[in-house]
Amino acid sequence: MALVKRCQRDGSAEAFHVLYERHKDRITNVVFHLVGNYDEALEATQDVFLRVYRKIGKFRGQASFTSWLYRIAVNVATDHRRRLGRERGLLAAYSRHGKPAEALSRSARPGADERVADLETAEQVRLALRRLSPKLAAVLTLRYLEGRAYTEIAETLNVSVGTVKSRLNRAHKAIAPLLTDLAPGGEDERED
Amino acid sequence: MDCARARDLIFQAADGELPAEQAAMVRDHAASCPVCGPLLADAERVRSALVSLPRMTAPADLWPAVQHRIRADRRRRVLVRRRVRRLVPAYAPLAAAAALCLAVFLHPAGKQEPVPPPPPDDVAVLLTEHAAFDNEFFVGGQDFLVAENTFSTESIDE
Repeated sequence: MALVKRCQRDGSAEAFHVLYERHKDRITNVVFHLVGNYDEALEATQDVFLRVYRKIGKFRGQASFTSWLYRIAVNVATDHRRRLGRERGLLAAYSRHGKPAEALSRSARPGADERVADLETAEQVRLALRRLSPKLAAVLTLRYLEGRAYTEIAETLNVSVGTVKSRLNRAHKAIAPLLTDLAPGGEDERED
Repeated sequence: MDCARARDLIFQAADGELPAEQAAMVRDHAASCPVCGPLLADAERVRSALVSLPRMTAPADLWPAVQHRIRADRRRRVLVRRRVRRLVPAYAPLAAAAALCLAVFLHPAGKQEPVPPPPPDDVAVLLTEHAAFDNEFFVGGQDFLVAENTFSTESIDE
C-alpha cells in the first residue's frame, strides 16, 4: 500500500515501476489466457498498466490492490477479446495471425514451466478456455491459473461468493466436454 | 447424500474447498454412483489440466512499451489542457450568453400554459346534455334505492 500511496501522492514513476515489476507476470498471464492471442494480449497488458496509472488516484482501498488490478485486467482483456471476436472470429484470428502458444510462451518466457510434457495437451486446454464465455473463462483463470480464493475472486469481479461458485460450477460443466481426450486428473504437481 | 446435492458440491470437492467431512461424503457417494463418479473425475481432470498449464510471463520489452504509452498519454493530456485553456477565454462570453438564453428559455416562469381551443358548438351542446343526464341519473338512482328499501321493509312487516 505504501507504493500505491506514493503513486497517488506524487505520481512517482519509480514507485509505479516497482508496482509494475511486482504484478506484470500475473497480469500478462491472466490477460493472455483470456484474450487468446499473444500480440493482442501484450497490447492489452499495456492497456491495463496505462489504465492503472490513470486511475490509481481513484483507488480508495475498499478492495485489495491486487483484486483491483485483476479487475482492470479482466475488464481490459474482455474488451480486447470481444473486439478480436467481432473483427475476425476468435479461432480464425488465432489460426491466421497467432503463433502456436507454446512457442510463444517459450520465446516470451525463457525458463517457463516445462513440466507439462505434452504441449498439445496444454494447447488443447487453452483453446477450450478460449471457447468459453468471458465470464466463465475469467473465473477459471483466476481460480486455477492464479490460485485466487473464492472470496478474492468475488472481490475482483464484484459479485458474491455464491455467484463465484455458481460460475465455477457452470464453467466446469462447459469445459469438461472440450477436454475429453485428456488423461484423468491426478494430484496437483505444481509446487507454487 | 443424494445425487442432486452431490452434483452441487462435486467441483468444490475436486477443488479442495469443502470441509473434510463434507468432501468425504461427496467422494463416498461418487464412488458408488455411476453418474456422479464420472462427474467427479471430470471435475478433477479440468482442475488438473488448468492448474498445470504453463504460465505466461511479461517479455522484457513490455516495460519500455508501457512507459512509452504513459508518456504519450501525459503529453496528450497536457496538450488537451493547453487547448482548453486557450479556448476558454475566447469562447467564454459566447458560452455564457448561450447558457443565459437556455436558462431563460427553459425557466418555468417564461413558459405560458397552453390554452385549449374552445370546443365546436355541437360538441359543447353534447357535453352539457351529458352532464345534465349524469346529474339526473344520480338523483333518480338515489331515490330509487330509498324507495326499494322502504318497500321491502313494508313487505316484511306485512
